[in-house]
Amino acid sequence: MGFPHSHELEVGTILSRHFGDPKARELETWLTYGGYEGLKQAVGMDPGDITTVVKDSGLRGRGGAGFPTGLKWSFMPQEKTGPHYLCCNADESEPGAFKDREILRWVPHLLIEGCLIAARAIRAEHAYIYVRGEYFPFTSILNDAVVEAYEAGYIGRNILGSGWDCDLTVHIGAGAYIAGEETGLMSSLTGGRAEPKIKPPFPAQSGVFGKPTTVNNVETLAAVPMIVVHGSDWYRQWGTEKSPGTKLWCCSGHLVRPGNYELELGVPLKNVIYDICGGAPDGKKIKAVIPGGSSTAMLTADELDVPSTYEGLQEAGSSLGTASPIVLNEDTSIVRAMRRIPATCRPPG
Amino acid sequence: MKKVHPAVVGAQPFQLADHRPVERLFEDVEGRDRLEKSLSRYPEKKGALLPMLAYAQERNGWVSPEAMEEIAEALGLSPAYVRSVATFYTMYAKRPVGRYWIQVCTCISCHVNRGEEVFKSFLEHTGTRAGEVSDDGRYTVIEAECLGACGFATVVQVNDRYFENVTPETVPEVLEQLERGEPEA
Repeated sequence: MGFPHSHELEVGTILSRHFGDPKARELETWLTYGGYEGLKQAVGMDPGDITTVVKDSGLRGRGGAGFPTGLKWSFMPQEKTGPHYLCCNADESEPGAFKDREILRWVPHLLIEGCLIAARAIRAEHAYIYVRGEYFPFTSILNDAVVEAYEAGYIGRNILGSGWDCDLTVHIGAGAYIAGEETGLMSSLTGGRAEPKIKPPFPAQSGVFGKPTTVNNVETLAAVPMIVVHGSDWYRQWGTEKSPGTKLWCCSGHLVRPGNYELELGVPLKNVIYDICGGAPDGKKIKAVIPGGSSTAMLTADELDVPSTYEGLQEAGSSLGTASPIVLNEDTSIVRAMRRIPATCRPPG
Repeated sequence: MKKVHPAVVGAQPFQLADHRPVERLFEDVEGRDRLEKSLSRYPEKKGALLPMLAYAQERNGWVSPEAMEEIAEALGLSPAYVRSVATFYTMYAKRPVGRYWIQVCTCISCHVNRGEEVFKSFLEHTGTRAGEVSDDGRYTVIEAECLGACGFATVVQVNDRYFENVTPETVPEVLEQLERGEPEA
């Protein structure tokens, strides 16, 4: 459930159920929570069948663009002529977003499992998790989990006795907003400046080290194990036809109860801001909300009665983005607030 | 020597209060171990560049021109290329910084939760100007890009630690905690 607050409107799947529980970081405990059940199934599955389940679930990329995950995987070559790579984007640099950090921090094994299942689906022999440099405390938690998973045979050679090999490496950045963009991330992972490139070529043709690559967000990959275990129909019990499932929200700015909440897609934005997060503190009125992280268009207080789906926020003239509403109260200078965004993306000195 | 698994060798904390300076990075057992393990995780030598820049900072507290040259040589790259990469990233210190490198987020969610006042409070309490090392060598205070903890504004990173919900009034407590070496609450 949400962290540090929770709310009765939350769904609370495996994605957020163990937030706040430090024991969930340990493999022994994680296994009692159903950990690695999806991987156990996936190692016996044909890669194409894994992709089909994820395609049918309608899972969309949680990094902001909302591209269908299964479809992205299907762009990878079906016949291998060389190495394939999976990159997990844990750069989380969009102002307003702080959900990937909570996944790294509380449920690192869930992310590892998601990476391995995705790697199998796209026939990759190596998965890289690119974490933003600043996240040292959370990276250290992930590192411990990775070492534990290697030692227990969940990563490496002959995973779970299946004969399938896959490595996983944690790689950290060093302060660059733009490394969160997938081509920038790939440049950075391969030892370059994190400068974006114009597509084509697309990563599935030529990505990391010039090889076919898929880049997926942390939250996207963390949703994969439960979809493999419970199936696509189960995942579709939440959300809408075009926006199925649940989403981790990151609520910040002028709010009584800021933080993360896991909600079914489609909850009206108004309810998220007022009911779940308690509106603005000190009885202030809300002036505006940036609904999906700093790169999404701002809505005024009277424009918030929209369903929080990819299609709903698009119709409202904005975007769901990473579902990271930044709430601004009536005393806020919008001009000053907006000036902070490019100002902090400029490197110091 | 700290034993590090090859899978996480390129993901070690590299902004630290205490360092173990070396003149040559890859002449001791630890340095060679880090280099070899990093190289083993990437199909091209260049992949180990960020991990090695991080390692230089972990050991020495900053990435000196000499360290860049040594890394260039070890990875078969030109020193100019290594410098072009090192200077792209804000977390690699290209000159020595204070023992406590204090990075205050003043991006939008922290801005509306008094981030700039927190920044000013750190400057006042440490007696420094932005980006400068204090006279006693203890502090460097800068404004940072979004630190990705917006629900806990204002967010302050000091070396490898996060301090959350910091206000201008609690800045002295943060500094005291650092001096006492206590973990954050």
